[in-house]
Amino acid sequence: MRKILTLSRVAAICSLGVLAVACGSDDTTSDNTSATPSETTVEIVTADTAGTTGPTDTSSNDELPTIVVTTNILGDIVTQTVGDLAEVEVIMPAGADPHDFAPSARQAESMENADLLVTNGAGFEEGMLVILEQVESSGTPVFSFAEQIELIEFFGEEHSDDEHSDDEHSDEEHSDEEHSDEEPKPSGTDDADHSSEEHSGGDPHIWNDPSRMITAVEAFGVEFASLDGVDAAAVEAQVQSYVDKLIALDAEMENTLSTIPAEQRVLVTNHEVFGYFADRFSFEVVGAVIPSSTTNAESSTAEVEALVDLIEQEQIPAIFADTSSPTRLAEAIASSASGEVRVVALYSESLGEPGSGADTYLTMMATNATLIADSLTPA
Amino acid sequence: MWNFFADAFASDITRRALVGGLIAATTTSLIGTWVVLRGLAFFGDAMAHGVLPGIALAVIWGFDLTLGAMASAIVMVFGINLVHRTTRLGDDTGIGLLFVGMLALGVVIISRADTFAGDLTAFLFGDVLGVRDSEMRLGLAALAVTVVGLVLGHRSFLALSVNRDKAKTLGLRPGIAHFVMLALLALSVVASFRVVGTLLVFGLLVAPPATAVLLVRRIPVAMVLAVAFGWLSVVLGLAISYHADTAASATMAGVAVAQFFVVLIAIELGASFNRRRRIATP
Repeated sequence: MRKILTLSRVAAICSLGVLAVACGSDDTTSDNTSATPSETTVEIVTADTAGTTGPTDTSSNDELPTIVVTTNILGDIVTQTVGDLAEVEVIMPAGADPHDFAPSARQAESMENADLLVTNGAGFEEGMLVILEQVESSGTPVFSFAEQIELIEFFGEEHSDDEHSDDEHSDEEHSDEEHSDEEPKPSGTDDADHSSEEHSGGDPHIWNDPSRMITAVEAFGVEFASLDGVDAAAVEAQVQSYVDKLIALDAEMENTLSTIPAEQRVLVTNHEVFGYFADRFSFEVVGAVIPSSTTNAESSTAEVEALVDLIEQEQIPAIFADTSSPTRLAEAIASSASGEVRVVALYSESLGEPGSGADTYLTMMATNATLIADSLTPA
Repeated sequence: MWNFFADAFASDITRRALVGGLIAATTTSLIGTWVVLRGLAFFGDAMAHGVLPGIALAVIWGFDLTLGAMASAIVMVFGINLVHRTTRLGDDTGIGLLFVGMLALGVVIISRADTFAGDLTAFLFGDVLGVRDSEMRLGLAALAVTVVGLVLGHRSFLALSVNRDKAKTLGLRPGIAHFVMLALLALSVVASFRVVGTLLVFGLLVAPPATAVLLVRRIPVAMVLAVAFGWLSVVLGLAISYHADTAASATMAGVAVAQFFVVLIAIELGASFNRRRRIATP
């Protein structure tokens, strides 16, 4: 008996060794340096394994600063603004649900190694909040779009920056010394940071108002220009050029939406995503399929029934769903309400695929405005 | 081959994940050896899922998640014990009932909360890249307690496995020993679920010790070997998940199980080779 054990032990160790070497030999051809892939994107939740992109040639271009951006909407804005002045890597692919998306190890590494990390902020990227904190405490500069504007509360109230818990986060929590040694703040749990109750003070869906994005883009320009090796004058020119486009977009959207009379300016959405849009273009959000700022919440039967009643009473013609979320519940609500109710998917939290007419921020917003106008303008 | 691993652990974030994983794997492999030897695997799995309502309440009511998980685990243990003591139903029925009950309760709590912010995925599947310092410290503390508990309780645990009644007559207090073992199991789950998630912590609990037990007989040696296999699962799992962009905890658990089957196949091949050799030589 003993002999068998000895032989098999050797065999076992050898086979494990062979396995390890086999894995190793696949990658001996790769570079020694940790290459940053241009765009590796995977939603860990759905275990959708994208093929690995090999090391990119541009990764060895030391002259341009590297900017990593979390959401694809901001990714497009940043890419358009910086043009040739930086390498931009966008973490979330088109169609990703930004409330959910968790980055892969390689993406987390990219974020850590970036010269500048651009985030939405205000607790929006729920799937990567701890990673963002860790990146910040590792010394990577972080620029948050949400911090550049005054955030709205969820029911239309203005929210002063003094009270905003995100500012408390950034000032007290994220200083390098404090963060690495101390416990997270005692007023809540580790995950109270994640819960939207903590951040219910500020609506993070800031991009749906182009006029507010002008302020944020200008602030981004200032931050970007402060990086080493960046030509401030060139940045200024490019920022101005993009801001001009934002101004034009704002006017165009106003025009598109002008066909909707005041009493029809009522939105029922998938979740609480159009607060800033409503504020800018004088709409009222009267209900949501998921009555929450995040797609991760659920609605109860009572809430669903109340929404159906509301739709019937107000004769609402459309429910505006998100392209980045399932529409099953919205469709169920639409079909159970009497009268003709359409479910119209808006590019509310994510760009569309190339060719969808919404693959850049400018076209996405214009498309959304057109879809809303088409649905709400009386025939 | 060195590059395969060096690249995977080149940044702060991935190195932290590695350390967190190794700590978790050590704790789970150690107590997991007893889980395997005493047939507590189902219980271990139930425990891993039973922490969910406690975690959900902790998020909603804003207190420490670990406390919530611990409270949940305690409720589970008592519930299972209750069924076992007061009915003639087998252990596994009691475990099954509590398993489903707690899981359902957890989901109900989550769905009742208007604005539950989606950490559910992180709880179920782990967030190995998002391990906080406090969780690392908890992991180390749990490891220390586990090692002490296992060393001190070794004789009682051994007696408990061999013959419960005999253990009683020897004065080794099997009742308490059993309870301590369950407590250590709960502790390892509570301390490790943040790294690998509640669904898959079970993989690290059972697979490395099972592999070890294929190869050695003596329990202390099996524990050391289990830890080694646990570490191998974590290192290899994280490295593979880095290069292949797969979910980290699932990859670690998958590697742990694959390890078991590789060793098993190797043993069987070795055995059949030996048999043939014996037949060949007259």
